[in-house]
Amino acid sequence: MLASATTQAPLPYRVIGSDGTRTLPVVRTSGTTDFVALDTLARFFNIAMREDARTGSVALAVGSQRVALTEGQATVSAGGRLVSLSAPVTKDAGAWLVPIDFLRVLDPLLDRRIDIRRGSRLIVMGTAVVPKVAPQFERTAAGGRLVITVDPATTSRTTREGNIVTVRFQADALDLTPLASVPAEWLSGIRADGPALYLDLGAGVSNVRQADAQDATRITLDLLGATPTTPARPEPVAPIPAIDRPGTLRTVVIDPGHGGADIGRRSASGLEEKQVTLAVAQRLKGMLESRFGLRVILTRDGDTDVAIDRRAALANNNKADVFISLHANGSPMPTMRGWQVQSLDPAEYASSAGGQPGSTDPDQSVPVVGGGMRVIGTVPWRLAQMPHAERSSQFGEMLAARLGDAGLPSQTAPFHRAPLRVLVGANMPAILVEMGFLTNVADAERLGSSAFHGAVAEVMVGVISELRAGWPTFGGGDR
Amino acid sequence: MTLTRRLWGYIALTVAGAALGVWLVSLWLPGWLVDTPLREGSAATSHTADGAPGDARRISATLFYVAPGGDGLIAVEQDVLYASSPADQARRIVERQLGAAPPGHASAIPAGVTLRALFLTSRGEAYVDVSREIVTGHPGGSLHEVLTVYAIVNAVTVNLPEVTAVQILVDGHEVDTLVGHLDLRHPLRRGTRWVQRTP
Repeated sequence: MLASATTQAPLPYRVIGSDGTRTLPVVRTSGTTDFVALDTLARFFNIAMREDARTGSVALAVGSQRVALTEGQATVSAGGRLVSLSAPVTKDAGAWLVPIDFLRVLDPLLDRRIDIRRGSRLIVMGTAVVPKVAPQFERTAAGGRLVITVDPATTSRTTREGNIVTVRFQADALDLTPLASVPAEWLSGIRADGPALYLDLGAGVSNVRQADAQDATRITLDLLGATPTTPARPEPVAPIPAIDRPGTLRTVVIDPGHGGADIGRRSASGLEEKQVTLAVAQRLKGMLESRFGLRVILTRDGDTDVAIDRRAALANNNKADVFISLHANGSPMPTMRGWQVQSLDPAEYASSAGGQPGSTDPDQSVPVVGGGMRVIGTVPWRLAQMPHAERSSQFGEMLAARLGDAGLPSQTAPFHRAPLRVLVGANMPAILVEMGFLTNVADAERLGSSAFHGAVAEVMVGVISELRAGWPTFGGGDR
Repeated sequence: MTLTRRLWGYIALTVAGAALGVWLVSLWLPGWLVDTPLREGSAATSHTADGAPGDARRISATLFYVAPGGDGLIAVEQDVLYASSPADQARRIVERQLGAAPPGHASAIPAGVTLRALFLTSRGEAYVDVSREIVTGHPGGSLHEVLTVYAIVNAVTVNLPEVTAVQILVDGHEVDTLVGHLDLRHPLRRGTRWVQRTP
C-alpha cells in the first residue's frame, strides 16, 4: 500500500469580535502548536511592525508599548516584561511566524480580551459573547432527550418551524461541540449559524417539549415519538434555594477526575468515569454561575488528560475558595455501592511538616516590580493543604450530611480521610467526592442519568450556599 | 611477683576488651545488614533461614484481604516461612501477601504482581518494589486503590514492629499514585482504620 502524499492545510481560526467575524489563516501546525504569520496579526490589530535584519529580530509598536521578538527564541519582551511562548518564533520563506498563543501577549497591551479556543478554532475578542454549546442525546421511555449545556449562561429562545427547531441565543456566535452519533430517526442534523442553533428533527419525532425554559445554562428538549409507549415521568426538580446573599466565597474550582487516555473506571455498559465526572462538573458550574454569579473554573472542560499537579495549581493560581474533585468509584465486589466524601488525612504528612500541621517555610524576601523588597510567607507545594485540612474535613462532613439528607445512598462510611494526591497541593479547603460505583448495576445506571447529576449538583450548590454565609466557627486553620 | 601481677592485669584487660568488641559487633551488625538492599537471587537472600537450606520453619503472620462487604480489609493469620533478618522476613511476608488469597477470601492486589526488591532503612521505613502489574492490572477506583496499598503497608508494619512506614515503588520507580488517587510519593504509616474486626 502506498502512503498518501497529500497534506491537509491547517484549519484557520475564526476571529469573532463585536464588529464581526474574520478569518485568521494558520500557516503551519507543529505538534499541537499552530503558527500564524506575524504580518497578518499586525494587519488585524493595526500594529506597526519593523524588522531588524542585523540582529534577527522584529519589533511591534502596540500603542505606547513595544514588543520585541527574536528568531529562535520562545520568549518575547512585551512592555518591559518577558513572556514565554509555547514555541520559538521562526522565519519561513522570509515571513515571521509566531505560535497562536502570542495573541495572549497582545491581550493586556491592546486592553481587550482575547480568548483562544483551539479545539473549536475560535478566537473571541473584546466584548463578543460566544457561549460554548454542548448538546448530549439520551434515550427516554417516550423517545429521546436532547440536553444542551450552555457555558456561560446565555438566554435563548426556542422556536419550531416544521422539522426544524431553532434555538436563538443572545450572543454574537456559538462555539458548538459536535454531537456524538444520534439515531437519524430522532435528529438528522445539528448546525450553528451565527447566534442560532438549528436542529433538524428526524422522521420519528412527532412533538418537541422544552423542560427548563428558564435555565440559561441548560436547554432540555424532549423529542417525543409518534406513538409514545408510556409518558416519561417528569424528573423531580429540587426547589431552588432562596439565597442570593453576597458572601466571601467567590471562586470555586471543580475538578472532573481523570480525562483523555485516563478513563478511570468503566461500567459494564461502557459508561466511563471521565464522562460522568465531566457531566456533573459542567452541570454544577452552570448552576453556581447562574444562581450566585460565582466564578467557577473547571480543571478540564473537555476530554483531556490533565496532570494531577496542574489540577491543584489551577485552583491555587486562581485563588479559589474551595476545590471539589469529582470521581466515581469501583470495586471487584459488584454489591458495593453509594457515594462517599473524602478529605486529606494530615496525619500522613505530619513528619514532612515537622510534626506541625500547617507549618510553612520561613518567610522570604522577594523583589517586587518597581523596586524594593517584600516579605512573603511561602507554602511548600507538598504541604499546601495542611493549613486547610480541618476546614476541608468540615466541608466534607457537611456535604456528606446533606447528601444523606437528600436520600442518596451512601457507603457504610459516608466520609473519611485519606492521603489523597490531588488534594495535597490545594491551598484552600478541598474535598474529593466519589459519587457512586460504576461496578454496581444500580449505581452505574444512576451515574449515567441526567437526573442524578442534577440531584448531586443540587446538594453541592446547597452546601456552597451555606458556606457563602461564612464558615462555621471551629478551632482549626484558616485562610 | 610484681611483674607476674602486672602480666595478669594485662591479660584481664585484653580479655575484657575482646569481650566488649564481640558484644558491640553482635549489637550493630544486624543493623548494618538491614540497610543492605535485598534483591531476588542476591547473596543476601540466599543465606536466609539461618543459613540452613530447606529450613521449613514458619511463623504466623497477619495478612490482609478484602472484607466480605468490599468496603475494607480483614486480617487473616497465615503461615509464612521464617527468615532470620527483618528484611528477609519482610520479603517473605510481602511475597505471601502478593500471592493468591486463601480459600474464602479475595485479594486486594491484582493477579500477577511480583516483588522485585525490598529493603529497610535504619529509620524504620520499608521500600517495597513491585512489578508493574499492580498498575496495569488494577481495576481502578479510590476505594480499591486504598485496599491494595494498605494491604501491603499493613502486612509489613503489623508483622514487623520495627518498620513504621512503607513506600511502594513500581518497577523500581517512585510513583505518584497507583491509579490516580492515593499519594504514594512518601512512606505510608500503618492504616488500621481500613481494617474491619472479624465477627
